[in-house]
Amino acid sequence: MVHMQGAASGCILLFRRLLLGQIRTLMSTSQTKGAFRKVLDFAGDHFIVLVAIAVIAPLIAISAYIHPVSDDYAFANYFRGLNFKDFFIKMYTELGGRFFTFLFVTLLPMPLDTNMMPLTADDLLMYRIAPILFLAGLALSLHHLAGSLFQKVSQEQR
Amino acid sequence: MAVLTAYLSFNHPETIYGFIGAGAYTPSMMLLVLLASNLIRLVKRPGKQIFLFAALTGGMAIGANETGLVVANVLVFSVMTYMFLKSHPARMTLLSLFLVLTVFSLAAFLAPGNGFRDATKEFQHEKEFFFALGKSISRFSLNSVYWVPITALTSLLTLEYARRRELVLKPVLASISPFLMVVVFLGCCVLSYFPNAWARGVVNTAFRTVDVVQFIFTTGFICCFLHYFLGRASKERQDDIVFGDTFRYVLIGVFLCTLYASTKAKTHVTDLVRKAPAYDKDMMARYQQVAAASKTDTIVVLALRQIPVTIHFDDIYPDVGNWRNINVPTYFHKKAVRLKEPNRYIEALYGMEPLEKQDDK
Repeated sequence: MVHMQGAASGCILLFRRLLLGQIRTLMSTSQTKGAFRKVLDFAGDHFIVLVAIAVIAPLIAISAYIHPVSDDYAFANYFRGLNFKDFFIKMYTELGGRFFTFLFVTLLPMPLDTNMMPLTADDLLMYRIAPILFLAGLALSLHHLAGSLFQKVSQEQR
Repeated sequence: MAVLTAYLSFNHPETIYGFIGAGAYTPSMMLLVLLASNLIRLVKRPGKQIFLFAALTGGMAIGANETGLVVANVLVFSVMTYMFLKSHPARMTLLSLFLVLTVFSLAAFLAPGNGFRDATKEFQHEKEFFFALGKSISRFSLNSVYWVPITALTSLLTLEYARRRELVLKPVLASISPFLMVVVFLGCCVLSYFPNAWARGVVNTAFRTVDVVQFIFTTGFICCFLHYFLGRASKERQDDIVFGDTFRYVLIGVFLCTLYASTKAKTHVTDLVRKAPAYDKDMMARYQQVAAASKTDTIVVLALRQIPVTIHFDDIYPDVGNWRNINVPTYFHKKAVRLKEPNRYIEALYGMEPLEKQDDK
């Protein structure tokens, strides 16, 4: 948090200097050098996090263009006309023992009433949000694991 | 660490972008991670709430897919056995957890649908224990050769980050032998292939299952790596592992070069900027065409102009009789649909492993 505040104040200072056109003095004052240093330190300290965000961002953005595939249509067809209980029994007795997946499948975000209606971007909105939720869920679960594994070094260890 | 691990793990778009495919596999990864996390907390402080969380996450992982079933049981059994050998106070709680998970496992294993699926096809060497074990070991060995370099690099970067953030292992973990951690980790990885090898014999492991194994491998590798080095740091007052600035910048440089050399990162950006919008337009046009067609006609749709491989992994087929072609017209209340000309990308993707496509259902 302290690092972040330092980097933010450094950025603000640099921006203000640039805005005022004080480019010549920009590199000469010790205050500016300190600000540069803070920004570089922040980027260096959190490099792995910044890279991770940079590589994962296209994967999230591209979710806006995904479309249902054969399996999604198949399960939507299975589910149509059945209530939750009947669907679950049908899946468990005909498709296998993945009981949690069958519960999860009932959340399939596709419109089931497609009679005379093409799919539109609005119909697919929830479908396209799902990958973002999957990625976020993975990140959160790994964060939970990291919290169970590690702790900050204690005063005695220092 | 979390997002980078996820990014490095997925090779097949279905693991994220197909709702049913991702729904069967991605939650199982999350649940296995949460189970491991809850197990650590349970050992540290046995309590009803953590027990319930562990039982719930373990049960759901078992019900997600067969890989989840095997890995959840191996994890809980290993920790329970270790705690019994150590006469740890949490051992009885762990035994109760193992029994609860056994009930979930039986519910998955004895489901009538398993027999129904079994009866539909027969595979060479299916249900042969030693063949399945040998195949699991060989598949893991072959795949891990590709996974080790980038995972080792990520582990080093994560260790460097953890050291700068002054992180150490929780005391409850510091006493566990790193060798034991590695044995359990490798056991989980190898046995992740087992259900597939057992059920489908010689048929190659499905892509999305390989993604799950890679995720388990990447996460497990990083955890074992950090457990070993941060464990040493905890014991020896963190003096022995210090990364100099030069080493750090070299590490960062190597990592950036690896990312640059990887076609994966470039493909994601190209797909996002250029191919995906054109693909989206073509797909929307298909919906319009299918909706406007008569209920009695066979609809012939045009090939896609652009294929964004990051998100595209399935298409309509030129053969009306292909079982995968049935789902789309049924959904739209139409008679039949077919593709005018074959999708060469999909053919190439699954062509190397033709049974994969037919039997992955």
